[in-house]
Amino acid sequence: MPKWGMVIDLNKCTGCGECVTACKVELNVPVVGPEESAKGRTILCMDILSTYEGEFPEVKMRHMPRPCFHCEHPPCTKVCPVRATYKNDEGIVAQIYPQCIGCRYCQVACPYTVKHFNWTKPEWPEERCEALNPDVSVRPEGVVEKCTFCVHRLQKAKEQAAVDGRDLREGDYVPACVESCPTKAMYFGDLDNPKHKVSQLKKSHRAFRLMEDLGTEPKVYYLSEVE
Amino acid sequence: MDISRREFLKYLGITTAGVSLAGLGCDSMWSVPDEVFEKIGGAPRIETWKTSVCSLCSGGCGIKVRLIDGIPVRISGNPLHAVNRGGICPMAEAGIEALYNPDRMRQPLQRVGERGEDKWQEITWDEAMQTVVSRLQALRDKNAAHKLAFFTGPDNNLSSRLNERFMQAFGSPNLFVFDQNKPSTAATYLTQGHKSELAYNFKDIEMLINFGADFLDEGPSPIRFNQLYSEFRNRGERRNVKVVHVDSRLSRTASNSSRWLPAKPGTMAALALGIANVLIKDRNFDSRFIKAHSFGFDDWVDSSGNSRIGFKTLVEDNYYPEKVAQITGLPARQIVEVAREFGAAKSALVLAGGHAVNSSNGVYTLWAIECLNALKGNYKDDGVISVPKAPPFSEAQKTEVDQVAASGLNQPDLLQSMSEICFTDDAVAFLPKAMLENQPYQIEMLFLANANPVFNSVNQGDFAAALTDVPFIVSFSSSLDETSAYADLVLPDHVFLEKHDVAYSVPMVDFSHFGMQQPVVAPMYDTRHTGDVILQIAQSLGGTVASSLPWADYKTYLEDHLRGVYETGAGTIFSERIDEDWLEFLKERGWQLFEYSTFDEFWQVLLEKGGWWNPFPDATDFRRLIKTPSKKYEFYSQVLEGEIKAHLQTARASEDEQNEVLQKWKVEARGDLVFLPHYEAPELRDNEGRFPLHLLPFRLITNITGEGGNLPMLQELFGMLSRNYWQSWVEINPETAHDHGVSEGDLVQITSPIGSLEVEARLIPGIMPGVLYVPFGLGHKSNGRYAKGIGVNPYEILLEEFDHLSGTSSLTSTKATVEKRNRKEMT
Amino acid sequence: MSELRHNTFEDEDLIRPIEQTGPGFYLMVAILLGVIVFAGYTYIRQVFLGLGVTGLAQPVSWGFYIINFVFFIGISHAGTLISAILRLSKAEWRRPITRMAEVITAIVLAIGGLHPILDLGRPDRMLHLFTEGRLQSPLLWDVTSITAYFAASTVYLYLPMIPDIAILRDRGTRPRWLYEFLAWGWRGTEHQKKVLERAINILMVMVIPIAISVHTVISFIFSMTIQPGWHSTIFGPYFVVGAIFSGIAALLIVMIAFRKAFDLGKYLKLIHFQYLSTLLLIMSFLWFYFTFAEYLTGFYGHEPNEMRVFLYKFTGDYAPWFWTMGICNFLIPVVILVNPKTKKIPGILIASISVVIGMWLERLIIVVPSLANPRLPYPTGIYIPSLTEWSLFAGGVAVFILAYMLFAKLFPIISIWEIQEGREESVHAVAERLKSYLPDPPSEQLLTEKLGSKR
Ligand SMILES: Nc1nc2c(c(=O)[nH]1)N[C@H]1C(S)=C(S)[C@@H](COP(=O)(O)OP(=O)(O)OC[C@H]3O[C@@H](n4cnc5c(=O)[nH]c(N)nc54)[C@H](O)[C@@H]3O)O[C@H]1N2
Ligand SMILES: Nc1nc2c(c(=O)[nH]1)N[C@H]1C(S)=C(S)[C@@H](COP(=O)(O)OP(=O)(O)OC[C@H]3O[C@@H](n4cnc5c(=O)[nH]c(N)nc54)[C@H](O)[C@@H]3O)O[C@H]1N2
Ligand code: SF4
Ligand code: SF4
Ligand code: SF4
Ligand code: SF4
Ligand code: SF4
Ligand SMILES: [Mo]
Repeated sequence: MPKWGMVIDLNKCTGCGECVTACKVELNVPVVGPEESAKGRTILCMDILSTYEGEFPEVKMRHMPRPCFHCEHPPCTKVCPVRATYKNDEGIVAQIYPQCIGCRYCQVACPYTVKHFNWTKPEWPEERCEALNPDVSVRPEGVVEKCTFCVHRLQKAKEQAAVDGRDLREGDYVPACVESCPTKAMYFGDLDNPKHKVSQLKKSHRAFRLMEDLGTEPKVYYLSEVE
Repeated sequence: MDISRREFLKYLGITTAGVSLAGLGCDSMWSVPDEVFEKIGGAPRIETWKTSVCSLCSGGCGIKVRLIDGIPVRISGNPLHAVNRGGICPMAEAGIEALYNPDRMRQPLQRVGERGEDKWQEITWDEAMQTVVSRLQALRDKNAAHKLAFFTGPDNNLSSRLNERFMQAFGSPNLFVFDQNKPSTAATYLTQGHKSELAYNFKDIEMLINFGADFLDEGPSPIRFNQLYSEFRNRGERRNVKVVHVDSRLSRTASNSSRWLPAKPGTMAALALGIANVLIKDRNFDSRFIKAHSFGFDDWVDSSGNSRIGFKTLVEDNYYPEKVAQITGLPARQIVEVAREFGAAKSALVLAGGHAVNSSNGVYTLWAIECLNALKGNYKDDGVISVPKAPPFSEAQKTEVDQVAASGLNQPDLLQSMSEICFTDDAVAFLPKAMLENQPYQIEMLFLANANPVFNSVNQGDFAAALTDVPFIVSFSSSLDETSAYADLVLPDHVFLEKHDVAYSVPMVDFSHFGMQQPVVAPMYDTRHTGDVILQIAQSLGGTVASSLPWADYKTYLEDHLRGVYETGAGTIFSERIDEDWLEFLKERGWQLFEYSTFDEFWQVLLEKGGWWNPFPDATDFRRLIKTPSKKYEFYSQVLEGEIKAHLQTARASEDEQNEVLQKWKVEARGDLVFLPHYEAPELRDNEGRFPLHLLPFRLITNITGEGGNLPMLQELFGMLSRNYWQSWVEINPETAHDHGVSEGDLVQITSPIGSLEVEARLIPGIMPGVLYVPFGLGHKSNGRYAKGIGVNPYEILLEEFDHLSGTSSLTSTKATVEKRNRKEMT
Repeated sequence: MSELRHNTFEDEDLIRPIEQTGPGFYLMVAILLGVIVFAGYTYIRQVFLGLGVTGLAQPVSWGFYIINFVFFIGISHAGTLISAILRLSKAEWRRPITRMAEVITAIVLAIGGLHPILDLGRPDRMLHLFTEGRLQSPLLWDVTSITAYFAASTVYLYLPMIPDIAILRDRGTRPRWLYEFLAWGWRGTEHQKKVLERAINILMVMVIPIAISVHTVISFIFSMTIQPGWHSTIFGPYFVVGAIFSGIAALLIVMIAFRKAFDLGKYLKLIHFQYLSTLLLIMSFLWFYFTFAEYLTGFYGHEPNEMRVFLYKFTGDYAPWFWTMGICNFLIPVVILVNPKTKKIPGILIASISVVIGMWLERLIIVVPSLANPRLPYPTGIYIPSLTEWSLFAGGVAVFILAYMLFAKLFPIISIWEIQEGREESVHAVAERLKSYLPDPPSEQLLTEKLGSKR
């Protein structure tokens, strides 16, 4: 059973924001508008955490793209009362939107604060409706969502592989953010498969995960910047 | 485990989607029954991909558009494209929304209200074209063809050539391109006498000093520079490139560099000359190049026997590190360190942009910086700087010029007799002045395409006033922006995803290339390609105008140009197989890479792959390009001497007279210094300390000059790094903020001598104390529901100040103050 | 026998409010209904427009509804738990109090239990909790234990009411059918009495662990996550203590209100208030002890994220609320209740109101600051409840008051039969019991004799 995971090389990432935008478009994440945004309701399944260290003039600015970490021991799924979020056999922490009752328990339980709630009805201009990604459902208001590791692409990749009568290869299943990163700072693959790049990179001396002390075992690794 | 399809669909919510989505206003495609999904097996609908080019900025990135049943749903990068290699930026990603923007223009409009009032009436293309043609004909009948002006945006595609051709055939010299890149070739012009845009070979450099160009957020090709900067830090076996960034804001470009030198705004020239000082003192420069190919480095004696000072003396006497430290506010030790590293690097480059250029002392600054490239010998034949050639398009037959056209072209253009500017012919900021004063004559008809100066210039008010006076204005804009609001007719263009074009010569790329822009979808509304409209106008005008532009439509025009590329057989269409080794192999065999039996085949493959390139940069022979009186690279600019002379009444003008013009242009230096790169204090009006802070604007990758304003996704993600969604803000150093009683997140008022803006405060340690930074891009007064009324436009409170040598407007000359406001109650 | 009682009825005061209704009552009902209708309107609006109408956002995605949920359920410990403990410990002074306490429980549990539904993004999918429920989720533990507690405490309220309802039935009080039905054929036979007593005793023992479990599992909602400020082993007992604390305070307020409104000075004597308020004082110390222990461990652990939440409460944005909570829950009750001069009804009322407010603030301070300070560098959230949330809060309180008033309108608010039982039997029973507490007489033989005779 593959264990899908991501590696983000912070030494390559420039903080350009393409992954954030790509994710929003790929997942049909609605634009919430100025009023809702002002209330803090912008939905970003991929987000960039920017921090400054030091004081002028010795300042360092850092960027850290942040998807869902698809924890091996996800605190979010444990608390869901209706199994609307669960970890599937391939390690992907999935959301079942039609099941979710919108209690937001998973959202408050996620130590990485990656989950978002659809506070209002999603809206697109009428002209745009036809042009949403048909592989991903549009979420109704009142449910929680987050990065899905673009699991819809896994399904497509599997079907393609089945049609071609072969096994899934590295690179068949790549999430939208990874695919569109202009600096190729992100890698995706099977963390357990020694042939996959991610399983090699995760052993790098630069590799770390966020808040490892929590024991969540995120499946997203970062490679630290080289100073 | 294999999730069954049905289960999978359930998890994704697709099966129930049809039910639960009915209320979303977006149901049609979601109500697809399960059985249909399963029958198609895999893709729920038919998926296809089309390549094209993003034209949201000058970067010209290759894109790949995903279509579902022919409907474009997402834009990604074209990995085959030689420039962006599959990368795109948030602008392009959100570009899909341009198609579906509910406020797009859908058919020609005729103004019914006052100018700028935004009241319109729909008319047909036939009516509109008739009006335009008859008006143009009337101009020609009056023998006043030059009274047509054409303002276009920054296009590096073939439509700019068409526009030029049209204006020539019609008979007007008044075609102006609203692009800052043109005035910023100043330093090249002063030192080398030509205005070609330069390109850089980044592959082999070891060090780069970037003076103020925020390449990662707003460069000539933001995405390419993101890739380059990332690569600089990840060279694998090779040494990483050391990047030093000079600017008063820790921008993303600065933070992705190895070192940040926060020099005081407007003092970059001093820093550059300080570095030159160390290089010269250490004798750590390319003396062979300087000796053989430069003029004015050492002291010299002119033809009348007067001794003149050279660059070396100037720098040695005036720009020693301690003094530079004082001017720039940087420690002398750092200046020396950077200079030594620069000197030691085998191949090193300096670049400038942003506030180095957009400053009242911009030309001298650029020039001082530019000298470092010369000291490093970067203009040698195998140097890192080159001038790329345009692709070998076939040259169309010569434009025919009839008598009316000839007399029109003989007239001076609007800027030619401007005495306020020294030497550029592209100082578009001065157009309103010329127009308002009817100098040298009144403009009677104006075409506007892809430019929005009423929003995008420091003298936007003047632009508005000037436009109000023009009897007839035609805008080709695809959305109703601030400038189009002044038009009499709007003849809407397609949006970029509906258009054919060829985008070539992305700035700063050192090989020739072009990307194929093709319609990925049929035009959604009754809009027309501006190229087609221009051709149609030409046909209707008949005579030499028609015969100079003989193409049936814009596509034919493109095909005609590309035939040249096909026929010369040069370069290659983008392909999967081009890697470095393969190229070497081919190069040995004379780079005739692919062969096509017909042009149609060539065209089809071009559309499929997205473009063409010639991977082998031509070594540039700078000596051939150089057009200075000395035929050398001039540290002492005789080109400038000539330009200034041209403004003086008599050939042998007195010194006083020269001083008079210098004073008018706000040049402080006198004597030899005028013709040498030097530091001049930036023009700043302080009004007795009432405005203690320096106000500077910056740009973000999430917004093109303002055009992105009608893409809701970009508005929402506008300040994603500082979490300012749909909102402008000001960046302040925490200390400065504290001094002014401002804390993080406060609503503050920024007041300059000419106005004030309200924004949210962001306290950021990466901002130099005493400086306020406000982003450009928001504050639209029209341009559709997503743009209008969101954020503020810093242009509104920037002083009208210019670098009078080049005529570029200065963005760095405004002082301001900041004060806390009470936050309006949110409900 | 009941006829007899009827004629010589000593506790007419307890029946009178049921049979006579003043204009004040109707006015009050009208006002409360107004508040409730408005709350109902805002809720329906919320159902249609979504939770966007609240002040919730990222990262503070739980707010008033969850705070009030915990708060109301906490208040519910007034009743059944206190009354069961008092009954179990045979505290004779309990007799006029237990009914009032139990009513609080039943009403407030119903209100509190509905709050998570107010908080659901998809109330239409509520049934998923039953059809697809995952027992591993603390939220389901709550559903279970609150349901159990509600069931147990309504029965526990109802059973001791049966004899009183029979009195009303026999007096012919209207609506007759109601009393007829609810009296369940009570005739007051020895057998019936025995069965009733047995049932009450069983329930009494059952209800205590259920009640404790309820607030423990509510605390588990928070402590089972690994969020700073929540992930604490002390939370179970801490919440239970807090619940009893606020419960007693609420009970005192209700008692004082009814004493005034129904003129019950005869039944609710100063001594009752003093006993209960001593209990309140003890709980205040206990609450302080737990709070102190909770924050001291946090502070000494000095885990950065924990500290951020800690400082947010102690010196940051929530400091005003935090310190007000400290004053309300500790300073005010202690100062008032240790001084015999102020330990009078007005003082006790002030102390109780202060505790109720303080405990509400405690819930606020537990829920919001942990969410407002995410571990990763997101902006810290500000949470400003919207009108919808305020109106639903007001609605909750109004429902409580109205329901209480209606209850008092239909049933005696003090258990008549228990008072009578007290009069008839307690003096003797207490004397006997006292004897059994006292040191044994010296003779071994005498002792065995006595025990034998007792049997
Ligand atoms: N996000 C975002 N991206 C944008 C835009 C935006 O608004 N937002 N605008 C787009 C547009 S329209 C433009 S024009 C570009 C502007 O972006 P840039 O092209 O970066 O503009 P400048 O900052 O003026 O820099 C001009 C370049 O020319 C070089 N240069 C100028 N003069 C000389 C000279 O005399 N000698 C030499 N050797 N070099 C010289 C400078 O070093 C610099 O590299 O950005 C584009 N990209
Ligand atoms: N002081 C100072 N001023 C500057 C600059 C600076 O650095 N300093 N930057 C300058 C530079 S580099 C530039 S390029 C200009 C940019 O200024 P503008 O050229 O004004 O750029 P945009 O705001 O992008 O305006 C383009 C307009 O074209 C319209 N449009 C969009 N798509 C199409 C299309 O497909 N066809 C047609 N016909 N129209 C379309 C849109 O309505 C949009 O409003 O600003 C200049 N202004
Ligand atoms: S797209 Fe790549 S470079 Fe850009 S922010 Fe995301 S990870 Fe970083
Ligand atoms: S990051 Fe958060 S949402 Fe994602 S799996 Fe881990 S706990 Fe769950
Ligand atoms: S919000 Fe939805 S997914 Fe999250 S815990 Fe509640 S029901 Fe489960
Ligand atoms: S993996 Fe997919 S869902 Fe997750 S952040 Fe990337 S694009 Fe978004
Ligand atoms: S850099 Fe410019 S051309 Fe390239 S994708 Fe972004 S907006 Fe388009
Ligand atoms: Mo430009």
